Amino acid sequence: MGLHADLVARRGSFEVDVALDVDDGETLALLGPNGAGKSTVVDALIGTLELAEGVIAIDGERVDALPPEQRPIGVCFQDDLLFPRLSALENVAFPLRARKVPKAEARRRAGELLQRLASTVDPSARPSSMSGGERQRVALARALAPDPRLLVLDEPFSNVDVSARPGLRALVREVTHTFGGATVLIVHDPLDALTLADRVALLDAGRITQTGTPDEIRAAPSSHYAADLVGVNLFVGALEPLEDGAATLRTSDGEITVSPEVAIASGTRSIASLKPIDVSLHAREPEGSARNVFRGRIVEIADDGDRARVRLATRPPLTAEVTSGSVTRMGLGTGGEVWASFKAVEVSLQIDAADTAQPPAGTLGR
Amino acid sequence: MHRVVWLATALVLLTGCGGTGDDTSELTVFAASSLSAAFTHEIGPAFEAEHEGTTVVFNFAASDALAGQIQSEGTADVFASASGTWMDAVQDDPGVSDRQDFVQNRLVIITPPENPAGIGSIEDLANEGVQLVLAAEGVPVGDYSREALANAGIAKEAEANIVTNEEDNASVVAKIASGEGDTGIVYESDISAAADNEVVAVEIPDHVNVIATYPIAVVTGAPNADLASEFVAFVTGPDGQATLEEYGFMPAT
Amino acid sequence: MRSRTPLPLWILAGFGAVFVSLPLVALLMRAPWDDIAGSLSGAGASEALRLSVVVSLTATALSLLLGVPLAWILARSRIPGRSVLRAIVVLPIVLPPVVGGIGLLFALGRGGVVGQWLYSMLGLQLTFTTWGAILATTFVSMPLVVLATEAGLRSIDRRYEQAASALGASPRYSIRRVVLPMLGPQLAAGAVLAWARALGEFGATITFAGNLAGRTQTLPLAVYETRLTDPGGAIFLSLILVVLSIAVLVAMRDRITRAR
Repeated sequence: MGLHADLVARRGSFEVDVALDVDDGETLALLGPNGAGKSTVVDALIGTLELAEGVIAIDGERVDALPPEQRPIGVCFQDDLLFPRLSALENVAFPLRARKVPKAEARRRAGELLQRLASTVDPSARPSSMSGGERQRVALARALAPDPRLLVLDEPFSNVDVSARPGLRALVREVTHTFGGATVLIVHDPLDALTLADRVALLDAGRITQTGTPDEIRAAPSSHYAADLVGVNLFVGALEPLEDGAATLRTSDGEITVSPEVAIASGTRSIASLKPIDVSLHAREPEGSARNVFRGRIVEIADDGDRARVRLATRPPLTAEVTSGSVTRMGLGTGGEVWASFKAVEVSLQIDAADTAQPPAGTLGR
Repeated sequence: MHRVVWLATALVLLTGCGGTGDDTSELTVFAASSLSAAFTHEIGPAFEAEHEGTTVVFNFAASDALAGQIQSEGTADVFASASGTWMDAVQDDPGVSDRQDFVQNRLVIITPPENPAGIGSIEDLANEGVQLVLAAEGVPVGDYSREALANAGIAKEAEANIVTNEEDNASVVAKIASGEGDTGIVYESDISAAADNEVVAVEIPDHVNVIATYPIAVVTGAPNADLASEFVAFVTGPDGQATLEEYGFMPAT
Repeated sequence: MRSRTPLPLWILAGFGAVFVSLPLVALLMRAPWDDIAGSLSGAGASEALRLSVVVSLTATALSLLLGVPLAWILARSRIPGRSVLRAIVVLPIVLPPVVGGIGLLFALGRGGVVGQWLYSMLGLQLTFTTWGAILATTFVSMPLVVLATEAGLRSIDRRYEQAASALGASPRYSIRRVVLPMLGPQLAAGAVLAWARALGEFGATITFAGNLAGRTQTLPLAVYETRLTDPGGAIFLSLILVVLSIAVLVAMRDRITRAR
């Protein structure tokens, strides 16, 4: 049944008015700029903030009148918020002990979770001796420990350094796929939303401006912000290293040249993103240092005031952003042929580590 | 910032060097606590009136404390003690002159107004459970009290009843007056009408009582020796003696 | 390597250090070392020491028991009049201890506002008892616990408590397992300060509880009583106090300096 929330919450003079429905097994990403109200929504779901109006129901039972400790939720916080004076094991066991689960059993269950999600962490270690990535894994384990029916992940990647993110992302993906209840994922980076969530809700100034699957939003962004966020070019595929340190990313519908920062092995899976503004359009084949040059037919031009988004049927498909003036000057029109180019270094590469901890499917959550 | 620091340091050093100041018009008198009321209210002002431009500064405490202060700091002009013992000590070091006995005092038992323990005589101080407040040993009135209790043959029993050893007679009076403690022993001067407190007195029979003889003297090395002698003369003279009698003291025999 | 500390600082610090250590050095020099045993036994040292330990430790425990919840209310609750309450709680630090003792007399003495009921209904008398000494000492020590604990509570990120709550902890469990452990250093510092104050407490004790060997005469009171009649004994009693204090302060030094 999952989460059904239709709530109004206020913090000072700021008001949030949202409706969220998330099925069991589904992951909804809440995406928005700073100040949009993400933390207000989180606090309302957790129960730290009282609702001004509305309901929150989990699996059909209302929880909005309950204090936080009585709600069947598991929360992973932005700054992990692991209790500094407790060991990793004690942190994960905390939600169980708080619910009066006997000590031995709580520690046993916590140990199992730690082993699956954060096997590199010494259970008796204190948070201060762990890296950011390790702490977030322990925090994830702690959130899952009480067998919650709603999982709230609040910006789990923000305090983790870049090299640890792919592993953590893979872990979060496994967790959300195998978790039986509903998951609400708060993220900052649209890439995380697009790759980890089944559906995305865009939050702005306390209101949800658009909900839908990533593809739906990409196809029809209903605001500048949405367009900016999801108009990004996305490439998913495997990397092939080239002699000069660059690499080719082979996707199912084309190849691009990218510039990895580290040495990669052939076949490494990767997700790459490219901002439309970084794609240049040319009437003739361009000269210059750009490694990626494509030619293709214009599928659609979406004019948006002084900017225009041009979708191209290149291999792989590309979206470019140019000024409306350029569209006119170059005489671009649907169906016309045009050259597009971008630099390998402008492609943002997320390399999936090959050996991240993968929990066995079906054993997390309900 | 630096200048402020040097200036502050200099100031501290200068003012700290305890100035002996202008001593021609200030007389320092160390006197036993029991003399506090008589000296402050009457004898001091009267002396000042007779000696234009003179200020009398008093330091009241138990005589043992005063003796100690005189010996270590030596800034007293006159010492009036409640017992010969401590005057002897000061006579040894640093020395005294013009020494004479100027009053006598007797002991008396006091109780709070309601007299909760029903004290009627000195023997009652030996009753079980009585809370007895005395001055500490070494303090003249403390020693005198124990002497009186010994005279009455109840030293051991009374000793068991002591609940506190106070630093002087004034503290004993304060405790009893506020209802803490059942009974105590102080000087008769402490209960005179002029003493202005609410304790009830129980007489100690003469054959058991202790007569405290108070000596007064000029301290050797006094900054104001001449003025000190005049003060001693005033206290032992008719005006001083009359005032002291008013405050419950007996003439020195 | 040229020192980064300016000369005036060295000079002033030097004065400070000399000023503070001189009395201690003088005590050591004037102590009659050739008759330690006699002096100490005559001055009732063992009883005074026992009482000092009992009274100071009990007062510290009481200060923690009452002071930590008080600090919690001051730091976390929203009741009106908190700043007035804080001022009152901290007052004993500013008041001369004797004034505190007099106040306690008027409140809890046999004739006191509350004391008279305790006495007439329960036959309970606090003056002239060891418990009286403990109460007087707690009165002056508790503010130190409250101040240290309140500062500590304010420095703890509230989100930890929110996290604990979201993870299923009742307020009581959260305080026990999350907040108090995080308060550890501040609590320890507060306890040490309170204990140090308790050990040296004199004015309130002598005014409220009186001065009787074996019952209320702690080391400071014993020093006061014997200082003129038995200066040697008084010096040794003082040195016991000094040794006791230095031992604990040195043992706890990390906790005091680490407390934020």
